[in-house]
Amino acid sequence: MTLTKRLASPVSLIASLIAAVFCTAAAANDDAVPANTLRVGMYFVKFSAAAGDLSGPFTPPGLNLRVAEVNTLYVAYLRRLTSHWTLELAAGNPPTTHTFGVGPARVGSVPFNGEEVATAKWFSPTVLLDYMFLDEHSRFRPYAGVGVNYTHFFHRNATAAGIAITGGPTTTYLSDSAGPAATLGVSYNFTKHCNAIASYNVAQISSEFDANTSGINRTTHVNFNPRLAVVAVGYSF
Amino acid sequence: MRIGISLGMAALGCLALASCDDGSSGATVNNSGGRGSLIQNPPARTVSLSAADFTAQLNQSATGKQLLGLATAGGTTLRCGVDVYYIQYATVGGAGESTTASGALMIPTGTAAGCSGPRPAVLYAHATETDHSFNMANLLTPVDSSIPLTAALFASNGFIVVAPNFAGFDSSTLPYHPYLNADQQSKDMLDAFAAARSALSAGNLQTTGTSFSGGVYITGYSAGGHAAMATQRALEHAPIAGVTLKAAVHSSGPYALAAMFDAVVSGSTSFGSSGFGPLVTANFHNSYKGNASIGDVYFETGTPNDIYEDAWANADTLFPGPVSVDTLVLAGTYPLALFDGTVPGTAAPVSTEIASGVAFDVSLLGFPAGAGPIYTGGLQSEWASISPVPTNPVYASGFATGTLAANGKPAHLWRDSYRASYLADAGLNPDGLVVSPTTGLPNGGLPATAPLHPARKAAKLNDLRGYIPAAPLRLCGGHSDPEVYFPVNTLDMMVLWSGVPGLVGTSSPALVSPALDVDPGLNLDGTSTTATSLAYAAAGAYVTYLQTPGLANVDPAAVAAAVVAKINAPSGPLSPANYTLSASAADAALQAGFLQTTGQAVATLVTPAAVTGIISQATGAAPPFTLAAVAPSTAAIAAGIGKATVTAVIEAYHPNLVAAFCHVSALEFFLANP
Repeated sequence: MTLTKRLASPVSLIASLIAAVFCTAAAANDDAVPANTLRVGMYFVKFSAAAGDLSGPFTPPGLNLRVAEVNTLYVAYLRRLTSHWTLELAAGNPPTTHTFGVGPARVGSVPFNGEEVATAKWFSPTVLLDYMFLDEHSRFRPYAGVGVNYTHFFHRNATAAGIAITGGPTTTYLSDSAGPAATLGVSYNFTKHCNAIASYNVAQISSEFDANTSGINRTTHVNFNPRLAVVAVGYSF
Repeated sequence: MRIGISLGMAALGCLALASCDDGSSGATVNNSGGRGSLIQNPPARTVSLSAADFTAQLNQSATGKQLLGLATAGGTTLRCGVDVYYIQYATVGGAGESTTASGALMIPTGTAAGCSGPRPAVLYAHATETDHSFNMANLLTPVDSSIPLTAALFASNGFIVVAPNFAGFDSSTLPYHPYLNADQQSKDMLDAFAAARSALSAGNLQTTGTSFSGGVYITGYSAGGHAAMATQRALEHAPIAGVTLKAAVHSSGPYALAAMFDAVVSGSTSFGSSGFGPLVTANFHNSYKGNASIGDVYFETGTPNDIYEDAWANADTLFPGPVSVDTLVLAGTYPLALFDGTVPGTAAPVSTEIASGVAFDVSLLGFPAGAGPIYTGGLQSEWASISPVPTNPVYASGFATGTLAANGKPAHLWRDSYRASYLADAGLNPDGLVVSPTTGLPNGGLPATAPLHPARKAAKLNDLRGYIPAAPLRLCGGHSDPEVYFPVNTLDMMVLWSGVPGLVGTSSPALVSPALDVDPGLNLDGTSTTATSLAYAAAGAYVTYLQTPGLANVDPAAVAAAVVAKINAPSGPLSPANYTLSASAADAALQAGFLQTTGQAVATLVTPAAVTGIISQATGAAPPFTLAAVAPSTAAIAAGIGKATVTAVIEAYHPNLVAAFCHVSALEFFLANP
């Protein structure tokens, strides 16, 4: 995980502005430790997706899929439970993932390998229970958390290249996913109210994929195996 | 202090999940049930192959290279690419019941001349299949060489192809297949054609640039030849606006169905009868049990046990099924034999069922009391006289006694009593091909006037004799065919058509071309062959003209006379001699060299010497070959199993050799009738 030149992106600029506006001025009444935190930042997501070959009628063996990496806005709300335990509710601005064919160069005479065949948007919130190491006076606080991810796929579409493979207008389905998630990160407190984090996150996200082309169903089971890096700034209040 | 963060919240508003779940629009589904309606619109394309890619795919196997040669007249590259669509359509079953069926729509593609724009269509009727999952749309992983053959031969030569799987196969909701049901098969073919036309005109297929020109051709092989001729008849009786029937080629079909069945049941059992038989009785039972003028073929108790030995009461639900009949026979779990009988060459045939005193109630059939040969002189002696086990090894393979070693079931399917009931009616009401014992003449060559037995009534209903074509037509076959007899079917139709002035000839206005006999042995059967045929050029083979003096290349009257003379054989009313292939004709066919063994490329069969070597290698026999020498051994017949090496010649004749040549002859005939 690296902090990259993403800082140039508009979202990160806005985050920086928030930090600049709210974090440089000293707060007056800050005796109590703030219980709430709102964060904004970026998800950098890579997939090591593993799927069985597509199966179904008129489907030769060896047709598989991969999902390209994607970045999206990260937002989170955190609630301090104790000096060490925090509840985190995180979500991303639903990204559009792009799925590509992996397999033979052509099926019949239709290009397959490397062709973008489908897209989908993800609504994928995660709730985590984080343990904050060290104590609340430390500027650096590493943390580790476990929790649950729920993912729902929407705006699912086959591309023109995908339709050429399947042979006609195609409706795609991806079943909802619910699975464990974990995070490992470090938080840096600039001030009592302003902080930043960097974290590495994993989640078990899997789904049954079904492409229906005029009644011909081609299916596979996909384990998305996402690896999510996050950098974010937070405001605690 | 609360701060509202609005970034991304609009997207998170997709918590009303239903409103966000729009995938691409799919196909429209039409369950209206109207005959010929396309159920999935648009249908899905199952494969798209350019001419170069299809050529490359065929070049990957020996069979594929053979098909490539046949499709390109000996060339090396296909002209057009092919897009294959899987169509599902509403049609009817054999009793008029609403059902669905599926099939293939093949569309030529590519930039070569004649591969796009308005193109004519070929309606293709496939041959007998016993595997329920058979699917003409599966070109990428075909289970049968007829699928790539059809695509390479017709679609790659610029024809749109409509090839139904037929009701009862694949995704069809019909629980049986209306096998050899002329009316249903013609409706099935024309419903597939209607669905294909609506798919082509809807403008929403993946393939663009090709449309239906309005010209249509019809062809089929074996049972498909029967279906194709029935379809031509139906289309001529009820033409479709905007559709012009250009030409038809029907190959190796059982057109004279009633005569063919009479021959089989009388003892000239065709090779493969144990597969055909159950398909036939399943069709007859399901299609006509509610038909008052035909009646249920299970006429005694209404159960299949009327026809089949108890252990085989499920025989007519086996096919189409998960396992093909070939697989079952080779595994030894299903009989090759249809009938009970001793091994030929031994003592007089004995029917254990009849010897035990079993009789059937002829009043069920409406026979006059005491009528028919089966009731005089004692049942057993009559049985022996009307049902001799033939010595011809091909026919004899249809008879067996004892049980199958693998499962102890009888090595034959049919009860003797049912066979006796059939033969009794055949004697009472003989087919018009049979010489009458009173007049010494055949009864005009048409089906029996008034059969009483439900199976013979059903066969007559589906017999195509009497049909007079109204569009250019050619029949094709091989005269040594051991599965669908050439004289009974192809010759009989030619004889009947030769009696219509001006119908048969080589040029317009004659519509019926001389029948094509692709087996160039001594043609004792009065048909002619043509040396310029594309079929022969593609196969690198050669043909011979008629050898019989006085029978010049085409003389319809002489053809008719020669055939009638052959049919008028001096023998009893049900003698297999009326339908027997002469041993000398079979010998000549083998020696002239067209029979291939499994795995041999047809293109190599160009000289008699080459074929002699192939047959020797396959059978261990030395020329001159006789059918007896290469036929199954006595032990093999008794075991009910046809061993691949010994019977390869007989097995390959109908489905491989003649099929390849007759398919090519269809292409040639279609190109000659634009």
